[in-house]
Amino acid sequence: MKIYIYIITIVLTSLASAQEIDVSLDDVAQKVRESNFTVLENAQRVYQAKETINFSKRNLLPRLNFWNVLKLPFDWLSSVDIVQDIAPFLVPNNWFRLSQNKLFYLAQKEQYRALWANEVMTAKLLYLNALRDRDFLRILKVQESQVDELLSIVKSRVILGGERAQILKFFEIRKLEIQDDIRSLSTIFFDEKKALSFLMGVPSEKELKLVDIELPSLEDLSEISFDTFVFRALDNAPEINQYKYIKDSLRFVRREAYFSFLGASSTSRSSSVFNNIPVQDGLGFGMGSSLRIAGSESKILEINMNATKEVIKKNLYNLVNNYNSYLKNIEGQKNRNKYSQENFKLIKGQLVLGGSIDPLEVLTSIESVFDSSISLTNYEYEAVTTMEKIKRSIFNDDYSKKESKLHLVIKGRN
Amino acid sequence: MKILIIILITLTFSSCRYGVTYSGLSELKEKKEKVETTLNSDLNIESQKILRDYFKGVKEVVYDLSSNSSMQSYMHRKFFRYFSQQMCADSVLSKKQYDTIMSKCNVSGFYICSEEVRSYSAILRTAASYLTGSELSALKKDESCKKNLLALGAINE
Repeated sequence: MKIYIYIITIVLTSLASAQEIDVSLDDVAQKVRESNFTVLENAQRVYQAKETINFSKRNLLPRLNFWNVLKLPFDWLSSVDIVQDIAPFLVPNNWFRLSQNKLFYLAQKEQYRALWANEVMTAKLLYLNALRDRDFLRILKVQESQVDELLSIVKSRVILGGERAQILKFFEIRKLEIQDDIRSLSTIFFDEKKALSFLMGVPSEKELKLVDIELPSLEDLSEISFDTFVFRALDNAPEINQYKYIKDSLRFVRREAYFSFLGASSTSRSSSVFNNIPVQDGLGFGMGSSLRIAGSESKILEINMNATKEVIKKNLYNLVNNYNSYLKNIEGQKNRNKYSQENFKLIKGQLVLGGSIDPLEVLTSIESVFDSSISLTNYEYEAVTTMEKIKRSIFNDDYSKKESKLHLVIKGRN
Repeated sequence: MKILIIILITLTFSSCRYGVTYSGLSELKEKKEKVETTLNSDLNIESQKILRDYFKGVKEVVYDLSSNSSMQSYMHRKFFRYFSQQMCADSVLSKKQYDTIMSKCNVSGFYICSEEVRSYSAILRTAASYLTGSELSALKKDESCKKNLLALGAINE
């Protein structure tokens, strides 16, 4: 009986380890959302920020502190001290902390949205890179077979005494070089698939089988302008929205400083971002400094926000420029590939018919076909990659996760 | 004395908060009029900002309402005092106007306007979900308002 259990376990394990998973580009975003480790961890942080709001709300309700109650019979003046226990909602700073935590939650959600979009984009770009390398492999294999063919012709010519023996060695060296390129590229393709598995949260034992994509016909696309896209890129950027929410919460820190004479808040902040702003517990001469530090903090946030805006604009300028340049030059690339293919066919035809053609000239032609094929494939994938990056910048398609407040509004009752 | 000051402060703050939302609601009319001026021109950064201001304004009002239960009860208490049939036409875009905007927002296969524009129906639906049956009936009394909200998908028959 025991031996049967062992056999079944071994069979099941080997079946599981050999399991292949078909993955399409459309599946990538979904998988990252559900299983990416970084996304899952950050989702927990958003959950914690949300729970802190609940904590802050409940902290406004009365609570029982046994030792404070015990003090009362001995010192009736201490009844004022237990305001924080029996009526914490009467301490304004508790309300301000609640308001801050609500805004920190929105900021945390925006941080999550940025991280989520970056992880989705990284995974999708990796997928496209892997497909591109697989296409490069195919082109390399075509080159290998072309060199093979040429090698057999050269071999016969050498035997017949029509060619020097050194030429044969030269071709064999070239063939070995191509084989090594194939090996290196296969290794890169393997690495990319494993990296993609990790980003998608798929166990390493499983083998990803990437489904091909249909490359868009670049001739049918029209050029885009920076001015049309920049608005959405800035308006919807979680990196900027996050600063806006944090800056918005700063006004409650100022109010905390003003109302500190009515007692400090017993609720903690869900973010440590303003921990460097000191607030006195009670009326004192430190309030002015607190306000000035808060003002300085506001300026820092403004500087960071402006810097982020410029980074987004700079990236968008580059993306729009790249995208348009691919559209403009695709025809040239296609012609280059077409001419090199035609040239190779012509030379090969003459060679087969026994024409006196230098084998090195044929090899140059093969390399020209290879270079132009690689360049054209690269061009098409670069265009798709750029489109993907533009979609990430303006939060389209797979990246269209809603901004925090909007998400809460829509989620509200629908 | 200390407690009295605290109560006064709390009351002042809570009424201020509702005041902000109410002014947001009344500003929608002006923002909507600005949107209407952009309908016949091409989309540029300026017109995108005008669209953003209106649609974000709608979102902010609904957000304040949805995130604050006291505000909801405040609204129900005051609804019939401030409600007028004109409110709907003043603050909600017509379906035709909305479709014109949406067609401009799609360029070369990319969506380029504020996310709030695309989510307009969903935002209005959320707003409508906070109204009671009698409040909703008052809205529906105006036939053109009812037709428009139905077309926008904000309410059901």
